[in-house]
Amino acid sequence: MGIIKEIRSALVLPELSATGKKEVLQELAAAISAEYPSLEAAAIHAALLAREELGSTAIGEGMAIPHGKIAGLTEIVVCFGRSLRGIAFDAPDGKPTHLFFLLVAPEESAARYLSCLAELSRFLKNLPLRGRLLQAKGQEELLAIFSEAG
Amino acid sequence: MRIMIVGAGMVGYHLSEKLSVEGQEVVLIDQNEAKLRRIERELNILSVRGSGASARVLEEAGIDKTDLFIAVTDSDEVNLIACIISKGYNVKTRIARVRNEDFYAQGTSHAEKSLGIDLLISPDLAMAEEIMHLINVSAAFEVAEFARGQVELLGYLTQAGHPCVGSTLQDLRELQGLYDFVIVAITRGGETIIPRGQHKIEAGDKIYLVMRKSDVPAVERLLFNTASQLPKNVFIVGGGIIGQLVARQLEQKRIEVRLVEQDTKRCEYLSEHLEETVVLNCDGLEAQDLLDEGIDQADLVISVTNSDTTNILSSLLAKHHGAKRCITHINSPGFIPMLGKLGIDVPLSPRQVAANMILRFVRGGGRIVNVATLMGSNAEVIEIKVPRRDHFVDLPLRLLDFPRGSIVGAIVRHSQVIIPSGETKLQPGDNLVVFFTQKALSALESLFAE
Repeated sequence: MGIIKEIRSALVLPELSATGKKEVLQELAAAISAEYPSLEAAAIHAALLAREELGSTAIGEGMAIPHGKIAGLTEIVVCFGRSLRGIAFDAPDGKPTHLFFLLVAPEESAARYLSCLAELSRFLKNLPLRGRLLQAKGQEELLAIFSEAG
Repeated sequence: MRIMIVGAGMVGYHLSEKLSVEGQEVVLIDQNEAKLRRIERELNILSVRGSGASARVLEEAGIDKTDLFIAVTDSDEVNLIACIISKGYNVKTRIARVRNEDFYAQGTSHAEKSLGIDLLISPDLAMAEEIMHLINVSAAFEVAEFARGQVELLGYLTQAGHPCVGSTLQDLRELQGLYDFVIVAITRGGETIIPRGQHKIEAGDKIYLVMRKSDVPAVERLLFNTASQLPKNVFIVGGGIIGQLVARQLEQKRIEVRLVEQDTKRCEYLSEHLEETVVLNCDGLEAQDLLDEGIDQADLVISVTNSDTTNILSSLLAKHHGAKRCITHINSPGFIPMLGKLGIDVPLSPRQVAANMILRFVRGGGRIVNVATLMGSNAEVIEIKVPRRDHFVDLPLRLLDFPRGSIVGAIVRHSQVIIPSGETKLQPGDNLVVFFTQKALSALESLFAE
C-alpha cells in the first residue's frame, strides 16, 4: 500500500502539453525515463500502447490509468499528469480525460501490481479528492494531496 | 410443466435431476426396471417401465398431458420413432438425441422439419462445438456464453506466479471501471464457494469470472499474465467423428494438426476427407509412438477416443512431456472431479455437454433464458429475466436480498452488457446472469417468482 504517497515530485506533471492519446503517453513515458535513466522512454511507451490496444485505460469522468509491465524495471513506478483542457483518450463516456495516473511495473510483479492498480483506482473514484486534483494550483499542492493518501 | 424423458442413461438422468429440482413434473421412461427404481429413490420423479417406441407405454405415461418430450435413449431409431409417435398427441416441443451422422449431417433442418422434431441433438457434434469454443478462448479450462455471446463465463486454474494469486477479492473489485469483471466462484479442494470481499485467491484455485467477451484479453493479461491466442499446432488422439470435425475446423483456421487413429481403414478415410491434417496410424496408448510424432511439442492435445483410459493416459503423457494444454473426452463423469489433481486441464463429458445444450433449449422460452452446469462442481449459472415487481427497481444490488451462495455476474439491458458492482440498480426486463450453488436454488427461485 501507499504507492501514491511515495510518488516522486519530478513525476508529478501539473500541466501536460500533449493533446492526443499517443502524445500524452509519450510525454509521461519521457518523464519516467528522465527520472530512471536505465529505462528507455520508447520501451515504456510501447508497453503502454500495447495495453491500450486491448482496450482504453480511460475509466470515464475525466480519468485514466495507463499501465503496463516492463522488463528490466526493478520497482513499481507511478507518474501523475494533468491536462486542464482535456485529451481524447477513448473514454467509455466519450468525455475528454484530465487526470492521468500512470503505473509501470516489473515484468514479474504479481499481487503487488494488482493492489497498486487497485489503490490508484480507489483514489480516483474518491469524488472530493478528484475535485481537489483538478483545482490544485501546481506541483506542490498536488504533492500535498498525494501525501495525505492512505 | 409436464416433461417426459425417454431413456434413463446419463443424459436422461442428468436432465431428470436438473428439471425435477426446478419443480418441473418429470416422467422418466426406460426398459430397465432396476435403473428406474434407483433413480426414483434419488429424485422426485415418476417412472414408467417400457419402450419409448411404444404408443401404449407413452399413453400409460400420460403423453396426452405432456408439454415437452425428450428422447435420449442409446438408440437413434427409438428416439426418432418415439418423437414421431408423440406427434399424434398434444406435445408442444420435441427433442431427440441422434448419434448416426446420416440423420443430421446434411440438411439437418429438413430432417428436423419433416420429422416434426424441434431439436435434434448429436452428442458428437455438440462436443466438437464445445471443443472449438474452448480453443477460441484458450487460457480458460471452461467456458459458457451468455447474452447471445456477449458475456462469457470463464473458469481458470490459478498457478503460483499468476498476478491474481494472493490478491483479495476486495482489491480486485476496486479495479472496476478499469477492468470490468466479477469473480463469481472459487473452487478449492473440491468445494465451490461464492466468494466475498475478504477472500484471497490461492494458487491451485479454480476461479470463475464473468466479463464482456471484448474484455477477455485484457483481463487475462492482468490476472494471469497471458493473453489467449490460438494454438499453432494441435495433436488429436482419436479419429472418430469428434476428432474429424475438430480437425476440419482447425484446418480452416490454418492450425497445424496431427491426428492419431488406431484403425487403418478409418485412417484411409480420414486422409481422403481431411486436407492439411497429418493422419497417423498408431495406438493412442503407444507412448513412444506418440512422442516420436511430437505430442510433447503440441500447444494443445485433444484426446477424443472412445476409451476413457486412452484419453486420460495420452493426456497425462502429453502433459508430462511438456504439451501446454489438453482437452480430454471423459465418458464417466464420476472421474471428472479428480482429474484436475492429475493435471488434466479440461475434462469434457459428451453427455453433460449434450444435456446442457438441451437444458439451454428447453429453458429458452421461459423467464430462465440460459443455463450452464459447471463440470465437476455443484454450481450453475442461469440467465434470468427481472420480473416486473417494485422491489427490484431503484435499489442497488447490494440491498436486494440475493440468497447466500448466489451472485450476479452480469446484467444485459437492451442488448448492452453491464458488469455490476454493489451500487448497480436493476430495471424490469433486465436479463441477469446469476451464478449460484445448489443450496441457493430454491431461495433464488422464490426471489424471482412473479
